[in-house]
Amino acid sequence: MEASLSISNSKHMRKYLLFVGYIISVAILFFAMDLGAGALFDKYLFLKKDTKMMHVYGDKSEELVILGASRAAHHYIPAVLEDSLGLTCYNYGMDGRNIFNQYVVASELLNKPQGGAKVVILEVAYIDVEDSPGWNDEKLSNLYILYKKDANVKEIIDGGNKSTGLALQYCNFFRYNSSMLSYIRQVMSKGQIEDTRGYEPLTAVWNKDVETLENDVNPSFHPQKEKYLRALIEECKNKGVKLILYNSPDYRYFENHLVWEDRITDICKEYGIPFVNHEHDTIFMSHKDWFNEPFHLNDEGAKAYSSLVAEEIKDYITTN
Amino acid sequence: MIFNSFDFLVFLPIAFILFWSLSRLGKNVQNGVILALSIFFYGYWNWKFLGLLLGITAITFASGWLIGDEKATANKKKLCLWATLLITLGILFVFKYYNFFMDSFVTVANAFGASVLSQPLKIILPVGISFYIFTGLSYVIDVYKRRTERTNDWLAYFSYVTFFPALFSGPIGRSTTQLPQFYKARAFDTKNAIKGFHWILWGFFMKLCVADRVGLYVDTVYNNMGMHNGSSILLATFFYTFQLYCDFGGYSLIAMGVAKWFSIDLLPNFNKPYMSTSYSDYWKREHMSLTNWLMDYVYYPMIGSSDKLAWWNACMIITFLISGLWHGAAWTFVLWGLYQGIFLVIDANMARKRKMFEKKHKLKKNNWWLLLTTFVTYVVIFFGLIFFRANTVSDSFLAFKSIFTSWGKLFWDSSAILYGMIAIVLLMVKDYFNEYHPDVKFFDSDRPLVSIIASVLLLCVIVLIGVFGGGQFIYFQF
Repeated sequence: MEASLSISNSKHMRKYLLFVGYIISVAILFFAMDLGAGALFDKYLFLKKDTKMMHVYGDKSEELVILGASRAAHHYIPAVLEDSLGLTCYNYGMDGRNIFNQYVVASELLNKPQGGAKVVILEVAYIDVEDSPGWNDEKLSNLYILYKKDANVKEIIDGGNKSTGLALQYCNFFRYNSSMLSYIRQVMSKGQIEDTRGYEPLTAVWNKDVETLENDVNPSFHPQKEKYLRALIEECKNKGVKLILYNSPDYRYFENHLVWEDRITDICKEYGIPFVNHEHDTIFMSHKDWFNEPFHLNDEGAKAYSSLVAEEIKDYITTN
Repeated sequence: MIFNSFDFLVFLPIAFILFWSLSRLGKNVQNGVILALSIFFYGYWNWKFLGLLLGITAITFASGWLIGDEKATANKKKLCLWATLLITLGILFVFKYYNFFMDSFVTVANAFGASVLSQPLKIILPVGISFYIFTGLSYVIDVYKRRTERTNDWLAYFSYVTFFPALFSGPIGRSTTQLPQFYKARAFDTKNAIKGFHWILWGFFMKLCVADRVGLYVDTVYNNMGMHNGSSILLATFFYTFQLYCDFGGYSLIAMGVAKWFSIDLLPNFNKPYMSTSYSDYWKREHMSLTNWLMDYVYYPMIGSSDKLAWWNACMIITFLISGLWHGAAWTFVLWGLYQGIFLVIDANMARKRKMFEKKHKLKKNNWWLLLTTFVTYVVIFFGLIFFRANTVSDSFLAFKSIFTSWGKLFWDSSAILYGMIAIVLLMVKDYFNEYHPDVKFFDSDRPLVSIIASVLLLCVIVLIGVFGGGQFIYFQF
């Protein structure tokens, strides 16, 4: 009875090998597809030069660059800043990105052979320093595509989950994980982002009164995020680039003091760089119609805000 | 160790090879290997709770042994049963409910002018505690009720209760159907193993592509309720219905698939719940192992020999209040349980009239009628799950209010919405075919090439749109 159960028994060994053969067939076919389709994706999606991320790796460079997540992308209008400051400008703000992405973009922009940026505006938020589930390593998928191309990206991803780096090394499909539609969309919307030099206007008008929300009294910070925020600041200092951290208007109040702002203030003081906090700027708090929703300005709000920032930067550039 | 981790991807093939390499040595070695693997699996999460797991397994085994003793008197058996219930449910109460009831008591006492300070216990909830306690208890009660024989095979019993695929989140085992599988040596079966592989793949699709993807949207909206309008809350709730189904349904399928690799059949836990055409039908398809457990060990014993409809209805509501509390120590879950109980009572009381109506108008196989009843059932499920997901009772009422009064522009998270919708459509297409055209087969096709290609395509979808490194399974907290 027992002997009949052994895998050394030829009948059972055959059953066992059939199963293993099935799994191996699936694996071989998958890797064949991965190889072929991965090359096609690279050719028709990633290597298209009109995506915003590809602009980072392109041969153009600007004197003033905006970095950050969606609040950067929707709040800073390069045309307004260019008119006022006389500097070429591009908005590299990207939806759903955090400080890891900002560091990679900054490193690339500051080290362009044709000369890098001279002034950098970094729009910061709690997600850039706090340990905030949903906004930590999960957001690294935006950088997967650059894993083999950019040493900084490799370092950031390998510094997190080791198995992710392993998968990116050997699986082409995985480099497009969660970003495939975004690349297709960017290729389809050819030229639109270029027309506004990276600025992405929002058009809704907020009509509710300001609300007070609950927030964590004692949030924990993410050591890796702080590491790359500091690395970005140091890279700017080493290159003699003027860096200004901004926190743009937010149509919400919070029950408890925002500890992340203290953390940013401390870090900026340590390096002697400005942190301009417009979170509850009175002009904006009296203009709910300038907001798309509480966390983002609409196009009208962005125009007013960009003019305000242009004035502030003008003073900073001329006096420093 | 969780299923959606790299560690598990390494653990599973090693466990598989180890098990079948040693399987020739017979049943006891097979059970011994399963027990060792399960101990490693659980200890990998937190070895400090291994004592609790093995302790509860030992208590229920000993209790079953004493109760099943033919020479034992009825009083002794009863005493033993109650002692086991008291000990195991007492442990569950301390870990899961003590803080909830203490907080509720303090709130009520303070509201009446007493000055009572809350002193919460600082303990973490051992993963899977509700599941392995319920599995153990089902055995003890079944032995007491003479539905099953007591076992002297402690190794078989321990490997049954601690069986690693079902340890963290079920399906809750039943001694009548599952335990006997551990009494004899298992032989490898290629067809079953391949079926298990398909279940594992589909389970990962459900977890990574649907649950974790739409969960990003759900968490953003439900954790900042005040910031979002009714449209966003409506979409988040729609997503949550799929998140919950796919998180737990995905886990259950992976568990069943892994179990098949070891030639063990676990109880099915989900059967296309959103294809239900009535609320009682829904509860025959949703979290089946828990529902059946509660029906067999709570509802029917509570009804006893009563023939009063009012008592039957009350028992149904009480059973689902218990189900709500089982899911979590919070008033939101109590409200959810109450909601389920009320709608089940309504459904049960209307069943006869509905049957007659369907017969009279020949609606049983009418596609429009099926569509309408499926939609109405889904809507009832949908609103009930607002209580299940909301962080607080006031949040749940705010969600209801916003859905009906404050429409506006959707909060837009393109990757969660677009990839989530793609995955949900794929899921529903498969569920639809399984329900109404079961003869159409892709994964289980008799032609190996079709089956292999279907598996490869699914693997590509998982790699392209799955959320990796995402959260744990929702049901781990229960």
